[in-house]
Formats: sequence, structure tokens, C-alpha cells
Amino acid sequence: MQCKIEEIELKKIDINDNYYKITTNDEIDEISRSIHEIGIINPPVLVQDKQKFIIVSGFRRIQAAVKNNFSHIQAKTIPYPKKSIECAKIAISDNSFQRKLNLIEQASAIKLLTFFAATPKEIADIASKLNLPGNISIIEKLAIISRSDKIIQDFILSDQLSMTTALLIEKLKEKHKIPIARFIQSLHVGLNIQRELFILLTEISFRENIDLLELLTEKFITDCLNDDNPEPKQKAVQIRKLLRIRRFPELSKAESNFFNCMKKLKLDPSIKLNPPKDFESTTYSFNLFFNSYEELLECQRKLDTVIENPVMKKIIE
Amino acid sequence: MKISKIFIDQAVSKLPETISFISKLKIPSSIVTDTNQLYEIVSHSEDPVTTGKDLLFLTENKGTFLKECPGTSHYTCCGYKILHIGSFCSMDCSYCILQVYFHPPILQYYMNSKKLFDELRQHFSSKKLSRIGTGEFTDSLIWEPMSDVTEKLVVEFSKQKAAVLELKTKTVSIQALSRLPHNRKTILSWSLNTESIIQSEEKKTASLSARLKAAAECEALGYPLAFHFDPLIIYERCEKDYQEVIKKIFNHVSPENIVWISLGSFRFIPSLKPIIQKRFQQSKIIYGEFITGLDGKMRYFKPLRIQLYQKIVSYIRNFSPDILVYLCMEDDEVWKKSLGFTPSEHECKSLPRMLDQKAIQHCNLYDYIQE
Repeated sequence: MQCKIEEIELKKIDINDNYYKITTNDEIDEISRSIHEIGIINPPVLVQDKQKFIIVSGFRRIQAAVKNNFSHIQAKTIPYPKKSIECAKIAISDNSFQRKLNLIEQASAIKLLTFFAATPKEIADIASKLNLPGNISIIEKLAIISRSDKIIQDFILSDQLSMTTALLIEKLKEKHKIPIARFIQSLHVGLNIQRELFILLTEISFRENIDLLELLTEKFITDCLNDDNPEPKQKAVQIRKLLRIRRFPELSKAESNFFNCMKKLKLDPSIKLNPPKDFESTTYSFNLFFNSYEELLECQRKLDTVIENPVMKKIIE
Repeated sequence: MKISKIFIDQAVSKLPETISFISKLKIPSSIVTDTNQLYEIVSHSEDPVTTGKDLLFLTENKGTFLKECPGTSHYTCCGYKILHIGSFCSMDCSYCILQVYFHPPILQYYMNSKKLFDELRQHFSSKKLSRIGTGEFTDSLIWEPMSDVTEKLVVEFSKQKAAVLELKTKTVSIQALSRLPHNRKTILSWSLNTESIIQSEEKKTASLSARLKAAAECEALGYPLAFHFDPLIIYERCEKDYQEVIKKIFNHVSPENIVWISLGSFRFIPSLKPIIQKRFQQSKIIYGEFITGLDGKMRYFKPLRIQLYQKIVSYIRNFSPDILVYLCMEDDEVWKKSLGFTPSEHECKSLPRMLDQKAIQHCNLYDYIQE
């Protein structure tokens, strides 16, 4: 990297220009204390833009210097055009070779590369040399996330929304994105349930010609969300159950009938009756739990009673 | 049919069939030396399915022309044989499995028909009772009148007494059939659906009334007929709509000339769902009450399938109690509840035998060996 180390007046640095910003960490208290004690060890990198300088790397160091009321800082100035691939590579490398970038930082880095590379393959080639994912499919996903609203990016950063769910949300109409993201993140559930809730909501909305926002404000959902008692995860279980009944009414009815019959059978904990998955095949199965021959005989006796129960016949037929 | 370019495999470029075929299409063509390059054009395009329907690749079938129907495990198959004349389809049905079946999806038509007929004659010499169709990997009649293979097939089948040819289509390209000696060894069959499904899900296909008019014309020419309700799609008021279609069938053709009617509810491999979501954004057919079937395909929840089959069977029975109605890829429970018997309880003991028996009756087969 060609550079000059210079003393630069802080007011000549455009601290609002975030073109090259990769980091999502805006916390500067710690770095401010360090700079206050021993000064800036590793000078930030700047590129000249007419009378001003644009930050290429060292955003937090410069913010900390401003906080410490420095008038000048030592910086590396580089002789490249103000918006160039060389600057982009420096901005990315300064972060990616020092620590593992989070998803949003990776997305920002990829977004930056898209300004200078024409095809996903070119981006992938450059990215792989900068310690970023070099897989085209991942790069395409990161590019989508880089365009997401900051609210959605923050949900991803705080692990409240998976990238997979965020990518699904990005396919929605603009007006639906944030409300759906807020709804899903509020339930504090893992990736699989997030995805299932998303699919249930969007498919019900599409099938029944109901706007997603209207669906989200239907009574069965708002009642669950506004219930003060249950934990978010219990709310999620309840909402998922209700959405599933709405999306799969006949299957849900069959499952409910089966469980009602099961209750009537009053099965002993040592016997478990398993229905065919989605009632597609006709094969039911029993699990017997025993620890000794005597217990096995006891299971047999209980199983005979279950088999003789007319409810059992009703279940199978 | 909208094809923008024909690619010709060098291996078939000098065959008279190829020269004749391209002379009738009047579309730019070029000879391909490296097939992979063509496949890459399709695979790397934004929408490979649409691109694959826009290009035609005239090539040779390097494998066998006669194949067993792939069927699936756990469900009863009809034991049909496929005559693999080409692949993919120029029509554009949202539910079409061929969109994900071929990698890449590309319109291909096989020009090495000499090999096809050699294979077929060899099969005929075995005198095995068989039902053979060209409409599984493509529509049987989309390449009319560019190709004369169908005409030659009808004539070839007419000369023997052990096998029937089933031409399955959603087109009305039947012009060539009128001048052929078929000897009732070719069954003309149409895939049917409700007017509403044809309009919303079956792009570039013939209308219901045009299909039924074509069926009536074929009946007048002495051809036996068949109909396939596959895929049956469940939607509000669908039963009434299917009843209307059945009424129309019997307004156009006589029940005595129908060899069979099949019913198959919509089922799809999971990878088809995102294709339909992307290519047919207004289509709601994938949002029915589907479960994962025993073969891994998505199917309507069983009681819903049974309910629709029962209704359609009763509508057909009102017109004709004797027509063989069979279910495509269903299990014994669905058979029993929809039709009142399972294939093994039928006097023929299996679905393939039930169909064979109807082929024997309707198509005058009498010199065969039944396996």
C-alpha cells in the first residue's frame, strides 16, 4: 500500500462520510480512554476528496479523537481516487484480517465491492482474497442483506432474526418487511420456527387474499401478542398452532380427533401409540417401555386392554 | 409455438428427418458440436425453464426409446411403457413436473427414428401385451406437423395385435391422423381440467372445448379415446367445475368408445414449489392442504383426495357405469374408499391387468403374450 503519514487537522476529515465503513460497532468509550492515555497507535487511513479527507479505515479511532477534542491526528493518506477498488480493499482488509466479521459487516463489505466489480464471480474472486466468503451464492445473499433496512440488519445482528428469515422477508412488498420482521423477532424463536411462521403467514395471506398487515392484526394474533402472562416462546407456540389450524384445517382436525381418542384410551406411560405421519399411510405403531421381563408382561396386559377398547378400533378405522 | 432458435446435434444434422423438420419451422438454426455449451446457455440463464422452452435441440436418443414408467414407491402404478420421442414441452403448465425433471430443462426432439422403429419392431416381435405412450416426458402431439414420427407410429402399431399406442395431449394437432390406417391400435387421449384451471394454469394449451371437439373428431375417425384428469386441483367449487367437464365429455363422445379415464390429484416434488412461485406468481395451486407423501412428493391430505375422487367417480358413473376409471399413483386405502375396491380385489388382480383388459376389448388385441 502506497501511503504518506501526515498530521491531519480533524476538521478537514468528513466524519459523516460512511462510504467505506465496514464495522457495525459504534461503541467508542474504551478506545477513547486508550487514545486519551497513549494516543493513536495505528493511524487511520484517509483518502483526499478536494479540500477534505474521506475515512477509509479507522472510523472509531477518529470518532474517539473527536471525543477527546484532538485538533490534529496522525493518519496515513493514500494516493488513490476517492472512490476506488484500492480504497475498498484497504477498508475491508483492515477489518477482515483482524477479526471475524459479523454478517452485517460482511454484507457491507460485499456491497462496497459491488460498486467496483461487475459480476458476482468477479466479486467472489476479490472477496475470497480479502478473507470474505468467496461462494457466489453466499455473496448474492449478503448483497441482499446489505440493502435491508437498518431495523432488519439490527435484528440480525442481535440474533433475533436469522439471515434465512431475513432473506425471505426481503422478497416481500416494502410495506410488509418491517412489520413481519418485528413480529417474528418479538417471539424469540429459532430459525426453523421463524421460517415456519413466515411461510404460514405469507401462504395464508396469499391464499385467502388478505393483506399481511391485516392478518397480523387479526384478533387471534393480537390476543396472543398482548397476553401479559406467557413468555414470548409460549406465545410463539400458541400463534404457530393457530396459524397451522388456519393453513391446514382438515389435517389439524384429524390430529385433534386423534389426540381426543388418545385421551379416551388413557394410555399408561409405558405405552405410546404413534399415528402414521400426516395420516398418509395406514400404519400405526406402539412403543412399549419396560425394564424387566415382569414389566414387559405388564405392558402386554395393558396393551391387550387398549386393543380391546372400541376407541382403538375407531382410531384405526 | 414460439421457438426462437433450433440447435442441431452434428450427429443428426444430415438425416433426412432433420432436414425435413427444420424446413417446416423456418426458424434460425445452427449445428452444435459441444452439447455442454448449449446446456450451459440454458442452465445459466435467469429463467432456465423459459429459456429451455424457447430453444429446440434436435438430437439423437443415445439410450433406449422404450422405458418403464418411472412411477413411485408405495403407490399403485399403471405399468405403462414410455416411448421416449423427446423431452420437455412447448406449452407452459404451472404444475408441470418437467420443469424440474430435466437438467437442464430443454426442448429436445430425437431425430434418430430408425433406431426407435427398430426397437419397437423388436418389441412387437416378442408379442408382449403392452400399453405404450409418448406423452410422459413431453406432449405427444406438439411436434405435429414438423415430424412424421407420430404418423409412422400409428401405422406401425396398426400392423400388429399385441400393443396399443396412447397419444396423450393438450393440443388439437390431429390433422395428420385423419388419413392414417390405425386399425384401432392407437388411443387418442386428452388431459383435461376445469375451464378455470386451464385458463389460469395451462398456458399455451388448447381450450377445453377445442380438446373435446378434437376428441369427437378422432372418435368419428374410429380411434378409441381416453381421458386423464391429472392433476385434479382442489379449489372452492372445484367439484361443480369437474362435474361440468364430465358433462361436456359425454356431450361430445360416446362412453362406449372411452377405453379408460384416469384420476390423479396434484402432487409435486418439493423443488417444484419455488419454480411455481417464481414463474407463476399468481398461481395458488401450491397453497392447498399438502402433506409429504410416502414417496417424498407433496400430496393433498388423504381425506381431501378421497372426497374429490368419490365425487368425480360418481359423476362419471352417472353417465356410464362401465367405463374403467382408475387412480394414478394412489394406495389401496384411497382405491377402496374412492372406487369401492382395490386393484387386487378386482377380477384382473392388478391395475396393469385391468388396463390391459380394456385395451384388449377396445383395441382388438388378440395375438399377445400376457406377462
